Amino acid sequence: MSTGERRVCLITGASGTLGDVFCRSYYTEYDIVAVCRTRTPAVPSQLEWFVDPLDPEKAVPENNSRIFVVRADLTQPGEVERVVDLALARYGKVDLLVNNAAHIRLHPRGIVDGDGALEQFEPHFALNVGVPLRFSARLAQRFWLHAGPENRARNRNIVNVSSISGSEVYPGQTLYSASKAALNQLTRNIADEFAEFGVRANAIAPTSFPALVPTEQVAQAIVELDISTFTGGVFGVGVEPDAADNGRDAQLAEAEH
Amino acid sequence: MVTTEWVLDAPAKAQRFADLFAHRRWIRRNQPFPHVYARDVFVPEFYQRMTDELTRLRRERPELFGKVAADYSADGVRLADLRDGPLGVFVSREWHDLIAGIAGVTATGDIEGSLHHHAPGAPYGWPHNDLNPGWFPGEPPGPDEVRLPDETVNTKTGERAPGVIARESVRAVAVLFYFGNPGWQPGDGGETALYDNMSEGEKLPELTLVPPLDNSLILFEVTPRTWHTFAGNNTKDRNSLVMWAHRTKDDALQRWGGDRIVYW
Repeated sequence: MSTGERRVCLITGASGTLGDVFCRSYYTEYDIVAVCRTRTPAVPSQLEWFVDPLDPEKAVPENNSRIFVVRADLTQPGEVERVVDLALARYGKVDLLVNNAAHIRLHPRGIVDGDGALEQFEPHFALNVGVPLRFSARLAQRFWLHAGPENRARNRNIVNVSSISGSEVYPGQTLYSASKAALNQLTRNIADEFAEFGVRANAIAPTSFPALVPTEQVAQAIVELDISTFTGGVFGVGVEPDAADNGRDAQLAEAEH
Repeated sequence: MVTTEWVLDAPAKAQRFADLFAHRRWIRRNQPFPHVYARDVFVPEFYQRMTDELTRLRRERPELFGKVAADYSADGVRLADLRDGPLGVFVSREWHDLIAGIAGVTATGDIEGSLHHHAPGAPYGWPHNDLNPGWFPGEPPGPDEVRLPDETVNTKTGERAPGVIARESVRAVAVLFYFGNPGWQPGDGGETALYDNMSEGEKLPELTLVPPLDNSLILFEVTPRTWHTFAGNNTKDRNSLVMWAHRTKDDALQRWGGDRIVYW
């Protein structure tokens, strides 16, 4: 049960590798609206919760921090709006929006090998760019736009989960990379526009997780940005040290150079 | 009269039982129907004893593995034949009370079930809800006892010799404990399929597949809507322990109505 004190986080792609770790790591610290298409994160929610087999009537403390699971295919018309409505109806606010849901299809034989790449343009840009744009715009229109002092007091912000692929060239990732590059620029422009009403926007650009950087570190980077005052940045996670900006948190490094 | 010895022994026995469990965070789920799921149920040492016992039974007592049912693909060993080893935990009163407590059921102390083994390539089963009757011999068990079926009474029909006392009850709590399936991976098959509905013609039911991961279990109160089946297509041997605790027939009739009980 929410105490009303915790920050409210709306995260998309909540049942994926990063989303699941984020929910499992922070469900007792945030009130989380977990947007999932099919699976659900392995934490207490309205769908599942803990029971003590040896004392089934006894309250289990973790159940007081249930996430709120919303199933949605965010690329369908009206779904982003429905999720925003549900989040605001449930908690009355959103302090942190994490655009984490992503589409990725690789084309290891290149974009001229048949029509595969052309057919994958819309899915990549719809979910990786269009959905973060729509969430940001709708949350602003329905909640943030006229709440500047409260936004600043609550340090409200957006974290877009980008990728190192958005600034580096990796064979076979042309469409995914292009969509993440667009997300990076979308983040900068949103940060500039939303400064008017006190909502920050940043992106993290992790290298491959969990292969090259622990997923927990990527999840931690989201929280570090949430408690920071940064805006308009694209921060690498797990990238080479020479990309780091020493004036900022050691966990976060400027991804683009 | 309560002796000092009894007072000291009961908590010690309860503690020994509690010490068998690896943790106290099982998961209660409400879809596709209410059930409880748990991973890493027993502590590793005790779980190892269970799998060792399974290996020993298959090696030394193959005659115990009989066909579970005429139209079912598993062979199995009855719970009554497992009482003396580590698998005997499933016929303990403590376990009976634990599963009844989680399900929120007032159970009779009557339990039935068996160790199931599906050979590779077993066929898909048929959806069923387990809301079946069961006949048990003798008077109702006492508060610290459990009662299992025996040869004097036909468990499904109650058929028995004149003068033999028996009682009809109804399955109330179902437990499937998966063990002896090392290294199970997605694609290996042999899951338990849970259905959200069995309505005809409207739409296909949603399936939830519960993998037979070692030292995990699924547990649910048996209701008219607990549709489930063995999903078959297992590429390796698939082992589990399947059991039910029962409620009185009166309780079942009051809860579900007589027409919902599925007679054999």
